Amino acid sequence: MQVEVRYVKEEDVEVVADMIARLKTLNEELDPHFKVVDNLEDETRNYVRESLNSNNVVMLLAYNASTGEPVGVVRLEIADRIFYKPRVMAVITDIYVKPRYRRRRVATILLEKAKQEARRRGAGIIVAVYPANNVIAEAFYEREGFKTLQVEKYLPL
Amino acid sequence: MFEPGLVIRRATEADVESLATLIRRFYMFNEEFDPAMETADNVRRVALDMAKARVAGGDLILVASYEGKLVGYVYGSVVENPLLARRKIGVLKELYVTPEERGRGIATALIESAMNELSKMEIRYVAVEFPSRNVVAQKFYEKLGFRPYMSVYLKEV
Repeated sequence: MQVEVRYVKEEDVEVVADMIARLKTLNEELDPHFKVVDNLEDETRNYVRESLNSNNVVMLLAYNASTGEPVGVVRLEIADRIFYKPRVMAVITDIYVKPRYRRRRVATILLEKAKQEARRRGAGIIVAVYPANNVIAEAFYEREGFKTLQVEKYLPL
Repeated sequence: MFEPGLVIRRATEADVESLATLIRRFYMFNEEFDPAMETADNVRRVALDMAKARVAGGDLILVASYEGKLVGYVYGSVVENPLLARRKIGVLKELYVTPEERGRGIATALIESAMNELSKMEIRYVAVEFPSRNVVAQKFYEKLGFRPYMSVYLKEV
């Protein structure tokens, strides 16, 4: 399968929202602190729509070049670190590949394109945020050479 | 030993719908770990049929009811090989607990109850199956004292 990457468009909202919802559901499976809301589908749809309208968010869609079928998505935010150099940072908030298209390096292709896009927007560093218990994400970023930058501790209230 | 409010019992006809949801969630979780575990498009309906068949059939199907709600299940059967001195072994093929009830020892209680049931059937060994890449399951079973027994390797044709 030849995979190509393009920007997410208005017509992709449903399919991208569905992939984001599956990612959040997977996070829920791996840690009860990520229990998803009851109206997850509505929220992911709004999230994708708002992301499309935001100047600081980039969403890239991986698709099967011969059929056009979407196979994966990456969403990144461009942020200003204010106090630190390099100030412009890209943050990968979501990355998901449909289970049927796993083990074909689709996520790696998405990551490469995300890096290109981040550089193009002036970012000097790219980070990924994911739940500590998401062992699949952990293995992926480890393989891709990412190191721990910050930690997030929690205390239930 | 178990949490108060937790009951482990054999699944009945009244459990079919909740059980089907748990079965579907189990399959969708494992799908995340390996593309070979991709679920069928009609997984919802098949899970319902499967839940009905299991409740009616002779295999081991235990459910965990917590404060009156179905929150987990274990499914297993007895496999016979007359060439072996211990010709019957119990095989637990599916285990699932809903994310919000994790951390209460419900999965452990399900496994212990299943082992207890199987031990009444002249069974000395109980095997558990899970996708090799499901490290969550692997850690869980190792903690309970299970060891690697059979390996299943897979290749695309």
